[in-house]
Parts: sequence; structure tokens; C-alpha cells
Amino acid sequence: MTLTARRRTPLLAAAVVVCLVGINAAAPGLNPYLVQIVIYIGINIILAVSLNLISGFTGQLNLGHAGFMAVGAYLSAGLTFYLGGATQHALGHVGIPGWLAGPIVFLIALLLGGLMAALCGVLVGLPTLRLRGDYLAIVTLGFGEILRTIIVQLDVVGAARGFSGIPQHTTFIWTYAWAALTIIAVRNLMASAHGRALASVREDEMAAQVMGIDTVRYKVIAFAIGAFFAGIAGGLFGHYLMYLNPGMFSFLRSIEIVLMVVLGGMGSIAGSVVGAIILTVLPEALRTLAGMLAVAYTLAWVGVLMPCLARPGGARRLAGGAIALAVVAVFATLVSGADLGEGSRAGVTPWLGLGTLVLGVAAIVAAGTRRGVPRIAVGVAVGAAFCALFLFPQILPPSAAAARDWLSANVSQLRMVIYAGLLIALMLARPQGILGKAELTWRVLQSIFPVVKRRAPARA
Amino acid sequence: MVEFAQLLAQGIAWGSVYALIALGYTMVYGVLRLINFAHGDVYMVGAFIAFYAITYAHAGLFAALVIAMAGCALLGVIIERGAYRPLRAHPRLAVLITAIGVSLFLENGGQLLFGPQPKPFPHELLTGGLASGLASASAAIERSTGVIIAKEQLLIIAAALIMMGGLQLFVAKTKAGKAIRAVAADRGAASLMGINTDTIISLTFVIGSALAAAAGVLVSLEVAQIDPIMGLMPGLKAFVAAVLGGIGNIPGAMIGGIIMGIAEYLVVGYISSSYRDAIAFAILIIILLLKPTGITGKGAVEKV
Amino acid sequence: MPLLELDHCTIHFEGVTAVSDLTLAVEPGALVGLIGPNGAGKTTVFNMITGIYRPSAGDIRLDGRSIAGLAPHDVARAGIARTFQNIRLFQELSALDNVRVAAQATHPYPISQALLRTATFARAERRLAVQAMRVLRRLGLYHLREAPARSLPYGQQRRLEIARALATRPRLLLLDEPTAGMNPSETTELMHLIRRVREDFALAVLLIEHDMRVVMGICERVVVLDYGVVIAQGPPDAIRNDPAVIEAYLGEASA
Repeated sequence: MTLTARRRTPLLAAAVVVCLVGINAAAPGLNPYLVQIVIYIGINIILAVSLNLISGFTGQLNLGHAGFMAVGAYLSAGLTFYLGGATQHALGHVGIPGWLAGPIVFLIALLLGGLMAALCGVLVGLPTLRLRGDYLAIVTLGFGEILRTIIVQLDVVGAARGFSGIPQHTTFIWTYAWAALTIIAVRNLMASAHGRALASVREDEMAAQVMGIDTVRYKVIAFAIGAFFAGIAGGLFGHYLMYLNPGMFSFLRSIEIVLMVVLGGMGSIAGSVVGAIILTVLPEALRTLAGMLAVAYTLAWVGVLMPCLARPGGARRLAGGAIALAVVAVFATLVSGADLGEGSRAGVTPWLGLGTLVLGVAAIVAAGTRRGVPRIAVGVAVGAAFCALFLFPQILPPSAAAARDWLSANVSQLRMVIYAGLLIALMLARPQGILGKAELTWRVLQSIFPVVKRRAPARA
Repeated sequence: MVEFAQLLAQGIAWGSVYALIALGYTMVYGVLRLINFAHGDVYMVGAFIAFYAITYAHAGLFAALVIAMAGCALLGVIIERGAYRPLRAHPRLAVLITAIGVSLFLENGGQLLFGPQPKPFPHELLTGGLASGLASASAAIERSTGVIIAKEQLLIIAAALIMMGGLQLFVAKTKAGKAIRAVAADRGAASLMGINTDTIISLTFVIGSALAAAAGVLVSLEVAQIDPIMGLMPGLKAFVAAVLGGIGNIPGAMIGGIIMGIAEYLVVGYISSSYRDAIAFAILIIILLLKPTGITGKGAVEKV
Repeated sequence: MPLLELDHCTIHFEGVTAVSDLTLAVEPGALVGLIGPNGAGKTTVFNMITGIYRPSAGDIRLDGRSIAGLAPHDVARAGIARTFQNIRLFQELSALDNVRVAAQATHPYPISQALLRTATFARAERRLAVQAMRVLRRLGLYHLREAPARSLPYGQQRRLEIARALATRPRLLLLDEPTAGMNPSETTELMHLIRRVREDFALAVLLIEHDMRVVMGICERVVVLDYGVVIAQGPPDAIRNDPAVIEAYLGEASA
């Protein structure tokens, strides 16, 4: 069946809904740690895509995105905590059944949190009238910190001790429904006249002004919309964790979100999604030694695949590679649940085997030609070496055991050092991020998976 | 009134520290337009190098200071060559992220290597003629004005003044100093005039890092305690100081640092110590909204 | 009534007076050249007209209405468009998008319609695209419409800048050294293009140029600037022989 332009949007929507409902139904049966990671991925997708709107598409570096998240988190949590019960009762009196009242209250709280965050976005965007580039970035940084200081003073939401007892409303569906909405909103915005105006502000602000674009208005719009979704993400976060604390929204958190966007590629929505996935999974994977090894294994594959991906015309290969990387990232998390000991070998090996198989297929797709074969061979050799390490730890010399013990004792510090090292390496190796400016459009999907056909042949 | 003078004196002492660190930020921003997030951690490394030099190599104060400055100068060059130079042609955001990465690397690497617990910094290092000279100066000040200022703080102020004066002379009078100003003004033109911009940029990092190391050692003398994340807050505040004074402007960084220190102590003394860090950000916002180019900055006219 | 009037305009920058007591008028539909040695203040005049700088003294009027001190985007909406001395295209955007941004600035639809993809949105987008493509076609750039601006050859980039300016539907077009870096045949083509554009789009053109062939060839009137002051005005032939002009360009003792 050919998927024409008209047919595919409803089909895609249907597929997304089916996935959401299916996974949501399966969620209670899954490992809760995994579910948590998946929900965090969803929240980070919202954060990364909304930041991309401000920084990637409109070119305004924003180092205070966590501040917007905090506003949404605290306001929505405060509303449901103090007013939620009463509102639900009121709704009940009006005849709305209990199972509906809860979500309605949550939605209202989320929206109000988002709107308040949007207002803050306007406040931060207004100084752009007089500030450019670096100075604006510094202001956004300062804003984030000042906001945190204000929250620390607010006893009504727990101040520095933290705010606990927030009702849990966030589910898998809530998170991913909003993630989808964020992606759709940003995509629709960018593929319109207003999106082009935002892009022109990024490209050359003065020229845009001279062509009639009110650049300050557009910058404020970008901040407002980006902040709105960040506020929503904050609300979802608070109602999942059921606890909030100002330290969760520090400058470091803002930087993490910036990293997701940069990693994926500024100016690419698909890139932000990829970046969010990788940077949510990576720190988790690095929590254990097995996870670290899995990450190292993944990076070895990346090193193998990168030259193939970097060749000119590699946009479609990049997409294939990104998907492969995402798959491996998920795989690494699964492995990180395991542990470098005798008992778990049986559980780890099939995953390693599966992972290597998946990677081999992805590499073949990504490489595209026979020239890729020697590289794949190297990759398989590396994979085999890792399998050996997992399966037969006794082949390592005794000093390695001592090293391994030291590593086990210092995992959390080592984790941050590795994280920082990877960051530096990433910037040196590929500063434009994984996808650069490439998007995951239908055309790209078509070139990777020829099943998706268009009615009209591509124009020469 | 004495209390005000007391706070002022403390503020000047701390402000000198901020000034020393701010110089590094401002010089690097001037030549590279980069906010070197890792700079505050160089300050920390300086303190640790001095610590190990004194504790294990039994170095004296002056020797430790020199070793720390030299070590950090080297560190600065390594960071510049390894992490920033390869990204010269790339958009500035990439370098900024790298700088953040280096900062995280140094902080967490420090915690890994040195352990996260604070270490007591050897005091009683001020010996001999210098110590007694400072002690009598301190006593004299207390007698005449009632202001209590420790000999370590006097040392900080004196050392900072000497170093800043030296730097000012260097930048204004020597050929290398002129070259730095030229590169900061227009890198392309400077290289066309025969200036080796790579060397000059490295020199900038050398000077900035050495000054930060000196600040680290001097502060550790007074606070008597070091830990791997001691550079975070002072780094941020020194950065605000650099912006306050006009980022890219050397005398501005010095002025900005002193003002930051004084403002911080006045707020702590008269309002509350819980606003100690917030005052830095408040100053930041105010200056950016009122005069983003800082106290000494002129409006940069964009050539169309 | 003149379309554009500069009335005793002066502008100071930190101790330098870039333009001093400048009075200039452009009639509707006229083709006027603005010439002078480098650093004479010509681009500064353009910047004042388009709102990038605010004159320190004097007034600028479009159709009798004062526009001095208006923000650049308001000046654009009032009907003045320009190109730049150093090309300032939106490098990563396609040629079509470059032109569309300029075309849409005056008639955007609300953001909500963009987000919801209404039928009004679809219609407006189609109209915008058609409008933009028409301009591109007129300037011979239609076949390059999908190409990112940075990938275009120099001459086409210059044309694209003009196309972009035209898309704002101006009544006055300011061209800043449009033939810079072009060889003689490209220059001749551009001269014809400017004349054609003036007729087809019914606009006045104020042109900064160094290439005397262009100035003498297409300008109806020429204004000569030196050190921020008008030293001569008139038809090209009169200017060519004006001693003050010759001295300004060649310095003292030109014999």
C-alpha cells in the first residue's frame, strides 16, 4: 500500500495512540525502574524540544530553562496540593464522575503552571530589546538562579526543605501526550510564516528588522512558548515524583537540557528527541560498572560507525545511525540492571548477543555500501571482546580486580567525570550534534525504509 | 561607623580575590569572546597544588605560590590547546559547552582524586619578616581606626595590588601586552599585522590562570580550608564582577571585583548572610538591564 | 511632494560627526545616485533612513510623515526597503524562504492559525508562496528557490538580496553598492535589472555606487557626499565636471 501524504497523518496519529494506550496498559507489569526512566525521557523530550525553539530555532541562548520548569512545577503542585481536593469535590457536585474529575483538576493545574511559566518567559524575553547574544545568555542564567532564591523563601511550598505530598497524577500517557503536543506545536510553528520569522531572527537579526520583522516581539514569543512547555514539563515532573526541591532546578539542570539540545543538534526537533533519550539513559547507565561497560561498548560502535555517517550525503544514514544509537542506549539501560557477577551472566549474555545483532543490522543500513564491511568487522570484534569480558571475567589479571573494586567504590564520582569527559569529546568530535540541522521527515524515513512510498515520485 | 569600615575592609580583601579571578575571565573573553566556565576551577586547582606542595614537599609559602601559579598556567594552556583551540572555527556555543564540560571534569575529577571532604590548609605559614611586618601593620590599623583586619587579609590586598599593578603595566607598556590588546580588538587584523594570535591567546590563558591560582592560594591562607568545589561560587561571582566592570576590560575587572566584594560584605553585614550569593545575581541583572557593557564599557556600535 | 526628504540631518558618534546638515530629496519614481569617497557617510545615511540609527538632529520624512527614530521594522512597513553593502541574507534559509520572510512581514496571520493548521493558514501560505515565487521569477532566480542562500554564487546572492527587498513591496528601494565585486558584463546586466525593476514595481531608487559607469548610466540625479556633507547635487553630466567633486575623489592638485 502506498502511503500518500494525505493518508499518512491520520495513520501516524492512530499508530501513536495505539502505542501510547498499549504501553500504558502494560506499564504496571514492567520493571518500575524502567517505567521511571521512560517517563523521565518523556519529560526531557518536552524540555529539550521547547528549549530548542528558543535556542536552536530562534538562536537565543537560554541558560535558565530549568527556572521555567520550576515555575510550572511549583505552581501546579501548589494548586493541586492546596486546592485540588476541594475542586474535585466541587466537580463531583456538578455531576462529573470521580475518574474524570482528577484528570480535569490536573489538567487545569498543569495549564496554569504553564501559563505562569510563559509569563516568566515574556519577562525574560523583554530585556532582549537591549541585550544580544552573550549578555542575554547571562541574564537567562541569572533569572534561573534568582527564581530559585525566591522559591527558597516561599514556606508555603516547603522552601529549602522541599515540598512533599504532591498527589501523583502523572502517567505514561500524560507525559507522552504532552510530548507529542510539544513536538507538533513546535513543528507547526516552525513550518509557518512565524517560524520563518523566528529563523530569520536567528540568522541575521538586523537584516530581519530591516525586512519588517519585529524581532523583539518574535523573541518574546519564542521565550513564551518555550517557557510554557517547560512549565508543563515541570508540572508533570512534580506530580510524578510527588516531591519538589529547589535544588532540582539549578543551573546544572538548565545545562543538562542545553546539552540534550546541543547533542541532538540545534535546529532539529528529532535531534532534541534523540538528545533527550541519550542524556536521560546515559547517567542511569553509568550508575553501575556493567552500565559503564555497556556505554563504553556503545561508544566503540559509535567510533566504528561515525566515519560512515560523516560521509557527504549522510543525512539518511545519520537518521539510521541515530535510531541505532537510540536502540543501543535503551539496550545499555537494560544491561545496567545487571551486575558484574557470576549469577547474572545468564541474563546478560542474550542481551549482548541481541544488541550486537541489532547493531550489525543498523551498521549495514548506515554504511550502505560494501566499503562499510571492514568497519563492521572491527565492530563485531570489539563486541566479541566485550562479550568475553562479561562472560569470562577470570581472564583478566588480578590487578584488574583491585582496579575494579576501586571503581565500584567510586562509581558516582566516576560517573560525573565520565559524563564530563564525554561532553568534551562530543564537542570536539561533532560540535553540530548528532543530527545537526537534519530533521526526521517523511522523505528521510522513506530513504531508510523503502516501504513508505509516496504517490508522486521525488522530483529530480 | 567602625562597623562600616570593618565591612569595607573585609570587602576589599575579598574583592581583591574576585578581582584576581575576574581578570582571567575578562582577558579570555577579550581575546576569544568565550566565557571560560572552567576558570573558577583553575582557582581551586591552584589551592590544591599549593596544599600538596606544602604538605608533601615541605615548600614554603612563597615557593608554593610560585609552584601553584606555574602549575595552573600550564593547566590553562592545556585546556586552551586541547579543548578550545580545535573549536575556533565552530559556533561559540560549542566552545561554551566544552568549557562547561571542562569545569565539570575538574570539579568531579577533583572529588575523585582528592576526596570530597574539605582539607585543612596549613596555616602558620606566614613566618619571618613578612609575618611580623604584616602583624604590626594590622595592629597599627586596629589602633588607629579600630578596624580589625587579619594579616592574611592584608597579604591578600597587598599581593593582589602588586599583581594587578604589574598586569596593568604589562598590558600598557610591553609589546606582548599591546599584542594582547590588539588581538582582543580585532583578531584578524592583529594576525595580519604579524602577531601570532595563537601564542597571544595561550599567553592570555597563562596569565589568567596564574592569577587565579594566586587567588586560590591566598584565600586558602585565610579560610584555612580547601575542597574540590570551592571554585564554583567565587568563579561565578568573579564572572559577575568582570561583567560589572565591563567584560573584556582589564581595569574594569579590577574595579568590578572590588565592588563585588564590598557589596557582598555590606549586604551580609547589614541585611542578612543568606543573601550572600543572591546579591551577586541581583547585581548581575541590574547591570545587564541598566548598562550591559559594564562600568567601563562603551556601547559597541554594530557596523552595518 | 517628494517621496523621501532628509531635512538638515546630522549624526554624531562618540566624537565623530559622520553626517552633517544633510538635506536631500527623492521624488516618487526617481532614480538617484549617492556617491562619494569611502568613509563619506553614505551607508550612514542609509542607516538613518532605515531606522538603524537615529539622527542627532534634523528630520527624515516619507510622504511628508516623519520617520526619524522609527524602529527599522516600522520603517520597512512604511515602504522603504534596502540591500546591504556586505550581503546579509539569511544564509541557512532557502532563497524562497528569504523572500517569503520579507513578503510576510506586512501581512502575517495569527500564530494560533499556524499551530492549528486551519484552512485560512493554508490559503495564506499558498498566497505568500505564489507572491514570493513571482518576485523570484522576475529576478531570474526561480530555478534556485530551494537552494540555501549560502550556496548561491555571488552574483545570484546580490540578486536575491534585491528580490528580498522587493518582496516587502516598497515605494523606495535603497541599494548599497549593488555591483560591488561584479565584472563588467554582470554590472551591465544589473544596470538593466535596476531600471526594469524601477518600472515594473513602480518605485523610487536611491543607489550608493562607486562604479561611475553605473552612476552615469542609469541615475537621473546624483548627490555627492564627502566627510558627511553634500558637496554637489545635480544631473550626472554636471557632477562629472564639478571641480569640488573631482577634488574630493582625487585630492588636491589633480593635475
